[in-house]
Amino acid sequence: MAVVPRIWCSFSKGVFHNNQFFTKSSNLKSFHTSLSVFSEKLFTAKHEWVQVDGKIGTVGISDYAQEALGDVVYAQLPDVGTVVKQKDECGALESVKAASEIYSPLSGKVVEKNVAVEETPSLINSSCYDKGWLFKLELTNETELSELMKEDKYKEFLKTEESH
Amino acid sequence: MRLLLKIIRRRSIPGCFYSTSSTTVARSIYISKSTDIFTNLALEDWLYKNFNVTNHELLMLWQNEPCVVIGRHQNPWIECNFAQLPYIAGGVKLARRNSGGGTVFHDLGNLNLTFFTTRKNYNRKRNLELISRALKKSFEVNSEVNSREDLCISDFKISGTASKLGRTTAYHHCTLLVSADKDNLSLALKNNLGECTKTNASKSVKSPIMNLTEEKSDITVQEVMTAVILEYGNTNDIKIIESIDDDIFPGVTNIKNEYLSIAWRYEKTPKFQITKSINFAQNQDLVILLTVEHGRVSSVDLRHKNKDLSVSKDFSEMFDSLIGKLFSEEVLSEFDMLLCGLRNSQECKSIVCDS
Repeated sequence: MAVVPRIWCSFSKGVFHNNQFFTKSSNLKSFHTSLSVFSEKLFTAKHEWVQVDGKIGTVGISDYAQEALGDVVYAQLPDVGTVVKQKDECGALESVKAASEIYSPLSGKVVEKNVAVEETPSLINSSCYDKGWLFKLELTNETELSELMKEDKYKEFLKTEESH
Repeated sequence: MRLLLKIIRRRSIPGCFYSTSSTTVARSIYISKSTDIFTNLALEDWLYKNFNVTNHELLMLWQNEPCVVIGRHQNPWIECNFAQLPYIAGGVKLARRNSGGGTVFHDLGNLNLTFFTTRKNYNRKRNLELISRALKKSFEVNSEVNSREDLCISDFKISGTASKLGRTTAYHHCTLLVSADKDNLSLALKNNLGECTKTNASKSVKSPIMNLTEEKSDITVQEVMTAVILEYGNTNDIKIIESIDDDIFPGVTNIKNEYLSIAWRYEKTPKFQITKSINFAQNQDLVILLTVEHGRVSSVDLRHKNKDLSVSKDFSEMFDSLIGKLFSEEVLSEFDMLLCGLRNSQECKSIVCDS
């Protein structure tokens, strides 16, 4: 099994900047909880992210992707039980009259889709890394994880993309 | 693969390629001779999947016999005059396309243009401006691209746009109203069901439209096609596609059958709910909800004061008889009949009085 690096929480913006954080014992408790729950988000070159917890990978699209799409008005997500291979088409997001295909960043079986996003597609715009996740996969080939980028590498990648 | 495509014109235009930042991009134009919406959508999809657009862009020009084309995530029953389509213009077909956006009407007075590019080079505004330039140069017609990326003359739309973006390839397609039958168009897109329907499906934004012939009366579709070809220009590869079959486009028949299928056209409809109410005295509304999932009735529920009510065996059997049926005009009439039955029943009156 591939080793999934577990860092504290790559996207918890305020956590490390909040100095009071370390002085409050109640916060410290929640901090320990997040340590065991969250792993680092990994990114694809096509702007999907995946966060792995055990054998389950949660999939979404990056901030760069949601901004490029504009207001998402409809989310067609893969049904639970769908078996997907890495890079398979598995749904679509509609925004400003364009249907953009969703591709699975990893191989696996869909175990959950985000019903809240189906009801309120704008969650993808307002909270792409949290409430706007798309679906969860039970991973079948964890070696694929090594092809994905960590956040810092993805940020570097974005810079080269934008310069083209 | 045998590409038995007839080349209609070979024009040696100087600089038949254009350059982007570092690469040279060739351009081809395919003109479909089919006027069947399902065949043309299949060809478009085939090209999207098989034509290598890396350094080679493609424009497909096509026309259809009267049809209504809904967007990928739309509801056919609330976007068009569903029950009347067979009686308009000798029969209007209903198709669902693969791109986003709203519902459009096509007939032979309308020209469709599909611009295939890499996802990176996808640019709807650039394509629409190309059409606008063509109209200006050939007919002295002034048009402009509005904020919704539609082509307009004053405040009237002459073209509707939609697109599909894949991992590496994308297309932008648009209609161009030259001399379409506006009466048929209005009739085909008329609908009232939307008012009592709750859905997440993307809804069309209704806009006033006009034909190019209203600006300049003698314009023909053929002339517009020529104008666009000249402006897209920079190509010595213009092909008229006489026949669209598996010999030339392997697998295209399967794609066409997919577009024709009940599953694609109707069952792909996002979940929706039709609400009708029976008004008894003193604002005592009894609400009846018909839920349709994957195009089929999934439940019929009766509510009073936001609470679900159970009904007697007679009524529940009538409710059940609708479940599983593909939504249609008949289902809607049965639903309305059920509503009448409920309205007149003693049972309903007692439900309302008891609660």
